[in-house]
Amino acid sequence: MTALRAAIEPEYTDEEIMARVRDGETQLLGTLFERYGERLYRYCWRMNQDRQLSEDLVQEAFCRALRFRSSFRDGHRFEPWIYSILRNLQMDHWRRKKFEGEWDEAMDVPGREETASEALNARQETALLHEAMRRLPPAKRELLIMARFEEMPHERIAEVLGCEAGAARVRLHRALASLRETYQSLLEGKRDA
Amino acid sequence: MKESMFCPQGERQLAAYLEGRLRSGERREYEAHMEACRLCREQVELWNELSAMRVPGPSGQFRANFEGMLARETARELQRRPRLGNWSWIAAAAVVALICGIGGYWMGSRAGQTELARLDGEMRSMRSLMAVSLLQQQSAIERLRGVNYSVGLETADDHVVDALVETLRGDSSVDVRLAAADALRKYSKRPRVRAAVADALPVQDSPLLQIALIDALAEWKEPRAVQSFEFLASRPDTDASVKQRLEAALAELRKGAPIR
Repeated sequence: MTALRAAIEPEYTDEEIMARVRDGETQLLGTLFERYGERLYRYCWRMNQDRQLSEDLVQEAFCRALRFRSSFRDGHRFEPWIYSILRNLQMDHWRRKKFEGEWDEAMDVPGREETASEALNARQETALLHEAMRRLPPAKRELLIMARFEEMPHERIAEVLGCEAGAARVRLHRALASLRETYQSLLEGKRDA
Repeated sequence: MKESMFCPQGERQLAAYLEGRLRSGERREYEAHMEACRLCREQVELWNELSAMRVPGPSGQFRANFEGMLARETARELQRRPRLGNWSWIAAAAVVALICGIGGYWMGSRAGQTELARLDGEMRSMRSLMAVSLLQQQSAIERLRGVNYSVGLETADDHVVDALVETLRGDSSVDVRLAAADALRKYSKRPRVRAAVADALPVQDSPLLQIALIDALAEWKEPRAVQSFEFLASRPDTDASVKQRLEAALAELRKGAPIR
């Protein structure tokens, strides 16, 4: 199967492969996992800072993509589709944990100790930046992650979020402004301490 | 008074600048603006600093877990697929069943009761085969007849129910799918029917059918529907009235016992 995936990889677009998965060649989902699995994992990790949770969410996203593959329509792009599935799972997770929309100390339960100890060895500013990111509401954090780390143009972010490109651009600008404000206040707090 | 967080010019141009999409003239103009605007300058500096955030890689099990999931899901689908032969096999079986039944009836004068019971069973089986074979016809009218025929059955066996589920999932005609959805309501006490209807919801593209399925699943208080509801609600192309119905149905389902 790996040989088949390797053979198919350079020749087909994501959308062509997903269409074949939809039409019954379900094993080809592995090719899309090879292309997107780690990227989606990194996106999740930056949202949660929890490795196990991020792996679980990515796996569940691919499981849903498989179960609901018939809903993938011709002419639609695979990347925003899989991101919106993952984003929905992420939101469900927070909703269940009552994290919706606000910072909560318990949010990074498994990763926090590890991150804090890593941060001791890292540059102070980077540690504060991590902290500032964690303090952002999830809706702003996801925008920054998609734009900065996933390098998605705002048109594609808009596809994932289901909004206009102009709205995505403005929201990104505001998310960055919020991050700057949080980061500045953390820096000032550090200086005053 | 608190200092403003936003620069109006930055709001217009920052995203394009960061994506490297400004034309050279616009770029120079924005860079000149940044020299004078502390807000924009700090935002760009912060953007660059974000690259220092490192992510630990996934565990060694990441890929293996995916392969395991894919294998499990594939096996699950194979188990659920109706085990039907082709139409000619079904027709032949029906003829054999009929001949055996009639023959048994005429020949069994001394064992009348047993033969009658056997004949009854064979007739039921034949009617099921008839419904299934109609559901597989090319013509939508024939397939509609198949759905109606299945509704007339006293009790449908698994083959008929599976064929109705397949019809609901993949029939090319919305009318036939709607009729199948309606027919499946008769078997809503069977957990596998409720699960199959929940699975079939996200693959529907007709708002009318989506609403019919949402209503049925909400009426059955089917907890497995939550995943399908959430998936459909998250899609940007889902019809607004369907989304409204989904929200109400989700609220109803969440009011009940813990769903997950």
